[in-house]
Amino acid sequence: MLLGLILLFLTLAGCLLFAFKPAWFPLAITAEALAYDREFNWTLWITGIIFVAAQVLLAWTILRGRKRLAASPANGNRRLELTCLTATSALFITLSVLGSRGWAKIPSRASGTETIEVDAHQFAWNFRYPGADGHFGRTSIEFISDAGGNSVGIDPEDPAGKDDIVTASLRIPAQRNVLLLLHSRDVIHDFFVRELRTKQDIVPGMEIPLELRVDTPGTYEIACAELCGLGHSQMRSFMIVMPPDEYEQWKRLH
Amino acid sequence: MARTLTQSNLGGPPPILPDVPPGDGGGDDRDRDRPIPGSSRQTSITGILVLMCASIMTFSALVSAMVVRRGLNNDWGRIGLPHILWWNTGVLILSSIAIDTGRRLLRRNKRAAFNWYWSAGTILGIAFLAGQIVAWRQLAERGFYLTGHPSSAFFYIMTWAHAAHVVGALGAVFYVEVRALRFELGPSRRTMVDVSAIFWHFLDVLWLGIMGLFFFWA
Amino acid sequence: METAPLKQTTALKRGIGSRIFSTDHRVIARQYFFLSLGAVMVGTALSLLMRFHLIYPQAQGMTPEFYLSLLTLHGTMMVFFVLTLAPLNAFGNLVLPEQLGASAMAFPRLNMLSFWITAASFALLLASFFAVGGGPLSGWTAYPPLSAVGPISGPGEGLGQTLWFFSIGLFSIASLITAINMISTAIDERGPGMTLMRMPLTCWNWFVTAILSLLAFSVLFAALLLILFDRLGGTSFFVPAGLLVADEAIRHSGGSPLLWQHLFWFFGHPEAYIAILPGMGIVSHLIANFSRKPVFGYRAMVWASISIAFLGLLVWGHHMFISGLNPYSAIAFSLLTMAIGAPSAIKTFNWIATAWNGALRLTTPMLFALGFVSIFVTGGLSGLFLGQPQIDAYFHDTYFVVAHFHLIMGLAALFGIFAATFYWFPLMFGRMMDERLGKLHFYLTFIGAYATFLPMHFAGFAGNPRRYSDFTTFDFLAKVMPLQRWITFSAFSLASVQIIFLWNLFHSIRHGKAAPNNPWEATTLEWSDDAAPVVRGPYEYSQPGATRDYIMQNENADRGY
Repeated sequence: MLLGLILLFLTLAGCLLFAFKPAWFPLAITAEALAYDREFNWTLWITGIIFVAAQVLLAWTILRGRKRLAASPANGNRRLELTCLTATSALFITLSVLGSRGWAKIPSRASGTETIEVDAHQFAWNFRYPGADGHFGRTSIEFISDAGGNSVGIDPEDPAGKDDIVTASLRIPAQRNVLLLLHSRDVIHDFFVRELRTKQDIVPGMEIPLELRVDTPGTYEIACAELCGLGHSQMRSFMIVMPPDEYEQWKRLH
Repeated sequence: MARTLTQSNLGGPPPILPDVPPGDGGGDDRDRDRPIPGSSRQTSITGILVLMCASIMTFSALVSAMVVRRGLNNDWGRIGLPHILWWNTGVLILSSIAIDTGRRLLRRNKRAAFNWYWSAGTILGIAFLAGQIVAWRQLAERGFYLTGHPSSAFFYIMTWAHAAHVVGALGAVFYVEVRALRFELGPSRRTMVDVSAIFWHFLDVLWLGIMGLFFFWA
Repeated sequence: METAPLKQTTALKRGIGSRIFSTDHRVIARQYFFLSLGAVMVGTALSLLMRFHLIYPQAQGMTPEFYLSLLTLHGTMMVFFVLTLAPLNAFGNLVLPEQLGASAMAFPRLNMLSFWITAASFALLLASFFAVGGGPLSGWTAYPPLSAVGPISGPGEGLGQTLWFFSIGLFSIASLITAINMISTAIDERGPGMTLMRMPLTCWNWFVTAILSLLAFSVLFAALLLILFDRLGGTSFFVPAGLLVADEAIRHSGGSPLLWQHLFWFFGHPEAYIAILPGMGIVSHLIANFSRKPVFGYRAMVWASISIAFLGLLVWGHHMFISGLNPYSAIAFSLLTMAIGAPSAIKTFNWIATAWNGALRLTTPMLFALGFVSIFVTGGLSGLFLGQPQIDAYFHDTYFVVAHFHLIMGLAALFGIFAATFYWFPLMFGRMMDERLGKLHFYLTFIGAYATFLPMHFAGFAGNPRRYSDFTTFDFLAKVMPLQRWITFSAFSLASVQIIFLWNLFHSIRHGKAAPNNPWEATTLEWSDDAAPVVRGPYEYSQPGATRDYIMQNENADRGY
């Protein structure tokens, strides 16, 4: 009985938490992020209904208990079980299919796509632009010198690398396709911007593409989301989304 | 509160039960023909079979790691297997044959003959291990170390893991050998013979698998 | 105090040696139980240190690497030494042979060996924490290259990390031995009349869990071998070429960090089911006992357990959705992950249906069993978010995941352990635990559990990353601090309440009420003194026409009526 009442109380408290939201998602800044929010809401409602139904059913079972058993107890009702099984399977598989939409997209390196290299290392971010010639210079770890200003390790002999721009924060144009090429030079990191509603592990030895098209200009924090050592919680940078013409001007000035 | 099941109340077909109303959980006695519960021979055989499953899983994991690793880069470095490995394979197969022949003879109570064959199997098993050590030396002489090439790294790790199993199995084989030489292998003590023979044959098959893997594929 | 009517452990041979190195399954079960209890106390203390640091980062001068080493030890200790040992090794060893009508486990000496290897593993784990250079900081998941290239990647990554790998290697060997023992016992040691479909659901779940354990720990062992060779032997299974870690060029080349993740999670996901399946069996068993009704859908429960275990082997990729996996394989993993929801729903439905209309006896073990159902539903539902790759892309490595697995493992599985402790305490010590203290402990713990971990999901909604040693660097985290303060406060309260349990446990061992032979009026063999063979199923409660509302499994028709 007390447990039944506590269950009802906790169910109510849980629902109230969602009404009063002690913390919540930030603004969504891409079309995919908006699609994410829709998907999330669907899932939230479905799980919310199941949560309330299950807890209330459990509470009711407890509250109404204590009856002397009159008839022979059922040992299992095959039809009921099959219904439950089919309903839950259908529901969960549907959720899975819905949640997989848009997952297997191959990044397009179409023309007009701004390609930027993201270099993560213990414990900071660097971003590299190909510069006016549109080509990234060759890099090698032997040239890396954080103190000497060559954090990415651009080969000084490579002419393509002479106009590469290396920055500590990520500037991208709004409303244009951007392709990030994620690299790590030491351990696994993760590129996470909350407003994009996505993240991507950066695995050393692999070049991992991440495509974006941000609609809303602004400054957004970049966090590392894969344990990378003692400075894991210090790896902070900014993604600065600028109107396209401002972006072009910035690139020219560098 | 624990009833001790003694040997006397085990065995035989289950008693004819009075007509009890069917309870939850079926109650039908489908497995009348299963082995006598609590019999240590059956249990030991189950145990060794389950151990084999664990071993197979570990080696499968190593093989999948190998497959992935090989596909990653061009630095695989296919090794040429030293010829002694073929001799070792033969030795291991022969030892299996000896051990199994011995086991069959023991079933017919030919204990003296069993002793000869089992001893042969033991010695051949030790010879296999010695041959492995030579093989590892020869590989190192050819420049294939643990480091340097992923192929040799996997070869060493898998053959070391196999050799570790062989050492364990030899322990059991040796235990039987000592009992055999003292003629202490009466009918109630033969589980160990079967269990170590089964495991020995398993190691045989495992070895053939490793050889096949490295000869044909890696 | 007079010895209790309930018979204690079989007469032990003289001498301390045979008491410590006992092959009696009940002694070994108690050894595992107390090892696990020690581990949970250490693990909880670690978590309190962590929670305190998170809201008062300047207070103790704790370095980030120390925080991360606490985090690593907390996770390792809880997952391995509490959630794997208590439900399976402790209670399985105690009860499985009894419920099956066996006189002992299949291989008693191996059983003893397994315990002592586990104890050695525990010692090694503690040693890794206190090693020169500090404890490892790569989490219980130990992803390379961080965990594979040595002290250059961080403090504690030298000797500490190596010892950690050896500790888990020993643990794996011990677990494999236990698995072999339990599987052989379930297959071959069942007493007369105990067919598979007459086994209590506890035994079914221990059996299935042991099989899962066998398959999973074998793979972990292989992974550990490979990473130790990477660390100590100069091989490169998991470390790619061209790394520069803190100004040192690493000489490894050609390996794949993702390979470790595949191997680890092939073990890691089944490990989560190893932690929960025994608890599910215990809950089914207890709900039947305390509703005085047979389990609703016994066969369905058996098939659900088998399905959960089988599917559990196929879904490891859902821990790697954003790791750089092929997106099509992610979709396959997602479908399989969601599919596990179906047998889990069956179980939940059947638990509620078992209790429905039952003559409920809301004893402490029953309360914990019902609490398990509630928490399992809540924790399981957050899995529906994480099983969708697109949704997981935001929640991965945030506090949403932390909330999910703490609810399922930290609370639901723990409630299974509490329920089992109260229920089988008479079997271990011949006495009963105090009911009033038990109920008080339950209610406070139940409310505290929800109060701590339900709000934690919201930190995940805000994108609060996990494994952060401090929240002061990021602007967006400042807004989550009030929530984090609440969580810490609630966690401290929840931990303090556990003192009631500890008092109850230790006080009752000495001064608890003497237990009658079958204190819960249960049907299964562990409560029976009779050597008669089994003639009926395990849940014959409230059978029509019977004089009593339960018939023991080995009771003949003319005695039960």
